[in-house]
Amino acid sequence: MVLSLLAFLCSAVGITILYRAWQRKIRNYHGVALCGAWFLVALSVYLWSIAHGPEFGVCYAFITIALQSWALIALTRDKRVKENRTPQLPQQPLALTNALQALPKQALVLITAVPLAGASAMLFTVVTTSLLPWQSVNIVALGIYTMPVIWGLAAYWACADSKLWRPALTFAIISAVAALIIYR
Amino acid sequence: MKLSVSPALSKRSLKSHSWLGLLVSVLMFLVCFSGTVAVFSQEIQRWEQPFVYESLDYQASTIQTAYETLLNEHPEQLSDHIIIRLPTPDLPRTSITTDHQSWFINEDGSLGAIKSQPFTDFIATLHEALHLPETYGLVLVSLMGALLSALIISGVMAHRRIFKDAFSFRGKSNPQAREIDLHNRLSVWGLPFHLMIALTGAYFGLASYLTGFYSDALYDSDPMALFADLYGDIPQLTDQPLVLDIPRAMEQLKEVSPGTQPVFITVEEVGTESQYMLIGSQHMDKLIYSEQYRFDASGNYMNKVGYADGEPGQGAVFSVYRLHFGHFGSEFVKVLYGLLGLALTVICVSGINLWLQKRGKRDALNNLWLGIVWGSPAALAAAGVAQIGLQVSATPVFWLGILAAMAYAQWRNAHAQVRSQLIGLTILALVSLVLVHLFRFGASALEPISILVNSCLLGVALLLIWYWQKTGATDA
Repeated sequence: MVLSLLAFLCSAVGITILYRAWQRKIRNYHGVALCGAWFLVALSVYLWSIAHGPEFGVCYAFITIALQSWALIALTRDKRVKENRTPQLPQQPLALTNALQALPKQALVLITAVPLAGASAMLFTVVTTSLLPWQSVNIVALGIYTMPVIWGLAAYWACADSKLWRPALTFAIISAVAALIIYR
Repeated sequence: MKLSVSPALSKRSLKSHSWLGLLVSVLMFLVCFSGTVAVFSQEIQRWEQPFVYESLDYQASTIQTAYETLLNEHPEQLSDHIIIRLPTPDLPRTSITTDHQSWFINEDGSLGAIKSQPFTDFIATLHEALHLPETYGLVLVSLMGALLSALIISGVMAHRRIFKDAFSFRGKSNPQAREIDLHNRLSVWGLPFHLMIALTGAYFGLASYLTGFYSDALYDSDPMALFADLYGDIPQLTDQPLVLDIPRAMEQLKEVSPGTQPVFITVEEVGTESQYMLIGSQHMDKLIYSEQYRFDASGNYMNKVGYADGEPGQGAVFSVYRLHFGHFGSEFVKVLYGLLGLALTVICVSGINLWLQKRGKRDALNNLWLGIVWGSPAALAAAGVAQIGLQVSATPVFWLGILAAMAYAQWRNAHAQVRSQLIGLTILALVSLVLVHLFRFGASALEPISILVNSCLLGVALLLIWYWQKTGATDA
């Protein structure tokens, strides 16, 4: 209980210092303050882990940090009244023709960002993680947790690149090479 | 600290973020919204059948009696598995389940009421599969997990002032600036939670495809070998007695694994000479759902799978469920998960609102989105009224409710008024839900769990009244 309270206080103080540093309210020793703040936040994770074990401790730490930050944001919100009216946007009919014209291009982005990126993310994850000198069960678990991030990166690229053929071609090549390695 | 992406990369990332956000918009909103409610599935389950006997104390002999009663009195209901759910602090009721039927177990071991929780099932299947056939629905919802991680990555890359603006919130500024700040502040500080939800959410429907590839790469295309590695191999037994000795197994469990909390008993290969028992027991310092201890039919301990102290990969995979739903620690963790889930839902809504505003015009999309966002809580509460009060299936009420809200929003074409009316409807439906629950269950509705859930429903109604009064029929 004492450790939990201490952990709670550490993150609260750390986040408050971060707030003051990032808002430029600390002018002297700015870097030291930032380092101290991050140290306190890291210390809170450590204290939560001692109090509740590493698995629960890390969960509690991240939940607490999120809620404390939101609470601080709510408390320090800018209360100066500014332009407070919603601009009246012009009413228009649904531009279905434009949407239909854009459909083929958007369909290609969809295919690249979802099935193609997904397949290449899975195959890439399997091939790269399998190179690790670990027990198979640990490799599978690592793949289960990392594959969505790799898919996410691939989907991000597919939607961000102005030339769709680049990610599409890359995913196709990765998929083909990875499949060749797995099924050779 | 100078840590910023270039304006060009930020612009491209924002384009990617918008595209992905629009792609998943409605589905992601429904998954996040239903997930927020699903965190409390155990409480809703108890509220839905409040008359069931509840206690944390039970005798192993009582479980044996229930099991034998099932064998003798309901042989037609038997299947390959029997699952006995043992009481835990968050669900202090005991039940026995076959593939065909499920009963609660009374204090004396007799079989009690048939387990029937259609409203809880409705919420669970909405979150797991959006009420689609499981094969497709599960994959679609898990796909939301993968795309949520894409949204997180693109969101971070698009945000050039991620540190400088980390705490700024223009509370009295125009609605668009407020919405931008709300979206960014909730996203940035909730990032670890959202990423965890994305990764664990992707597991449920996509892991089978990934393990298929792993089976080909590492297990000579033998998926059973992979499953044996992950979930333990199947014991091969012969000449087992046809009636299990559960008390003996539970007695042995106390010696093998003291200080753990048994949560379920599964009987495998029911009624055959190779039948055996698994007892799932929760380790209080681990996120794994449980360690699985195996016993032969006579109740002799054989081995355990090793989730608790075997390979870390086994533990990591078996921790997904509790990590995703927040079913660990105290009830307070569920409340925090509820808040964080609500934050993710708000992020989803505010993201689409921003996209709609930035178009510089209003059309049918604005109205339809409004109908979905504010129609969903009203439809969910109305579905509860239909299910609890009238015993009419909640699923069609929910979906028709959302469709009606969309159609009404488009017909009226008056954003603020329609939002106000839909909030009013939600408040009315929530109060009605409490009233129909009281009316249907009478004295049982005064059980502590019913009082708690009904109070929460009224609390949500009060919060909505406050929001209703604050925003009124204006666009603020």
